[in-house]
Amino acid sequence: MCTSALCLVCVSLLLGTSLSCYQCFVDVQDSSRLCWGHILTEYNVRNVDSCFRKLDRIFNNHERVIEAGRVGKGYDKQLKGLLDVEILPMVEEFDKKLNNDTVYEERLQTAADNFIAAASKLPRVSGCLPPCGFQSAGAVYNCITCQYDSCELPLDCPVKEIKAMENSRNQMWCVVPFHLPEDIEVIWRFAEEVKTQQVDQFKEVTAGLDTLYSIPSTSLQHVGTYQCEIYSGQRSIVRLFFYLTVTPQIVAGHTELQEIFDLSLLPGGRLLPAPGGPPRSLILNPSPLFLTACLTILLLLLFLSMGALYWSVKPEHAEQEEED
Amino acid sequence: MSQLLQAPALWIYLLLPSLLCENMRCYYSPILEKEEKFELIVTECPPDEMCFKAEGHYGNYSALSARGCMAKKTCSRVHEIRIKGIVYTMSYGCCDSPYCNTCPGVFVQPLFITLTLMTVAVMAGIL
Repeated sequence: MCTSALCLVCVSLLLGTSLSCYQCFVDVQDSSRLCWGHILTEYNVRNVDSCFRKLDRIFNNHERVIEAGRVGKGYDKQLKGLLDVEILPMVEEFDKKLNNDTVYEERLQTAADNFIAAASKLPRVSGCLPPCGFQSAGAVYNCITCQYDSCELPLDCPVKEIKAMENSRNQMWCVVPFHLPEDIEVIWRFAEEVKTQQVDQFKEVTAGLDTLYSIPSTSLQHVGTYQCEIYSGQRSIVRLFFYLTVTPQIVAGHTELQEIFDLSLLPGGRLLPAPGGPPRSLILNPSPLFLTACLTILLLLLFLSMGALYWSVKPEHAEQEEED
Repeated sequence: MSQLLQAPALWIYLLLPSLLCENMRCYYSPILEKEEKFELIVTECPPDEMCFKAEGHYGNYSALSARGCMAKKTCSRVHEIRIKGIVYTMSYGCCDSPYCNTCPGVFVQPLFITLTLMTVAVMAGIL
C-alpha cells in the first residue's frame, strides 16, 4: 500500500509538471543530450526519465526560478542568455558520457542557483499603458506560460466626449499609446443618437486600414456614439468610443447674440477685451474708489461755489433794503 | 535453409534481454506537443518498471505524447497536467517487452510481430 502511494507520488512528480523557465529557453534536444548518460546509482541503470524529472524539480517547478524569471518587457532574451550560459557548457561536457545522478544533482543545483542570482537583478518594470486594450507584451514575463502576462486591462476604453458645431468639420482618430502589430484591421461602427458601449447597438460603417473617421460637414444626424475596434488577425485588441454631440447653427447664433447683449450691459457699453489681450493701464480703467473720490470733490466744489455766490449776492440785497 | 535459421535468430534477438533478466529498455521522449519533433532516445528502466506511451488530450483533441518507463501499478492512471498554462488529460498505455513503446498508435505485441515474421520466413523457406 505504502509503495503504491509512493509510486503515485513519483508519477505525479514526473507527469504532473507545470514546466517553467527551463522549458521556455532550452531546446528539448539539448536536454536529451544532457540527460543521455544519467545513471541511477541505486540500480545502476542509464535512466533518462529520472534525469528529466530532476530538471523539472530543480528548474521547472522551482518557485524561486519562476520568481526570478518575472522580468520586465524585452528582458526575456537576457533570461535565455543566462540559462544558456549555465546549461550549454554542461550539455557539451555530459554529451555521450555516463555520469552518476549525484553529479547531475550537484551541477544542476549550482546552475539553478546561479540563474536565480543573475535573473533576479534584471529589471522588472511593467510596460502596461492603462486604461484599456489587450497589450500582449505588457506585463512581466511568465515562465509557466512562456510568454509575457497580459496587462489584464479591459478591451473597452472609456467613452470620449466630442462637441462639434453644425456644418463644421469633425475628425476622430483611432489611435492607442501602445504598440500595435503590423497586420491590423480597423472597423468603425456607429450607434445613432445614444451614448452607449453596448455592442449590439452598433452598426458597422467601414472596415479597413483607416484609423481616421472624418465628417466633412457635421449635421444633427451625426449625433451618437462612434466605436472603432482594432483587430489583429481575428483577435480584437482594443475598442475606442467617441460620443459626438452637435450644436445646431441656430442655437449657436442665439448664444452669440446673448453674449453680445450681456457685454453691452457693462458700464459705458464697452466690450470686454479679447482674452489674452494686453492689460489695460490704470488711467483707462480707474478704480471705483477713485471715481467716488472725484465725484465727492466735484460735489464739494459745486457746493462751495454755490455758497460763495450766495454770500456775494446777500450783502447787496441788505444794502439795498437799508437805502430804501 | 538460411531463411529457416533467420526466425529463431529473430526470436533470440528480441527476447534475449528479457531472458537474461536485464532491466527493460524503452524509448524515451518527454511530454511534448505532437507536432514537435523529437529524436527518440533509449532509456533503461529500474526493476519493476515497464515501457509506457502516454497521450495528452485537450477535450477530444489529442495534443501531447510522451514515452518512457513507469511502474506497472500506475499504468491505468488517468490524470490532469498543466503545461504552459493549459490543462490536459493524460492517459497511459504500458507494455512489457523491450522497446515496445516505439510506434505511434495501438501497441502491437512484439510476440505477434515475431510470429508473423516467422511464418513468413518459414513460408518463404518452403517455397
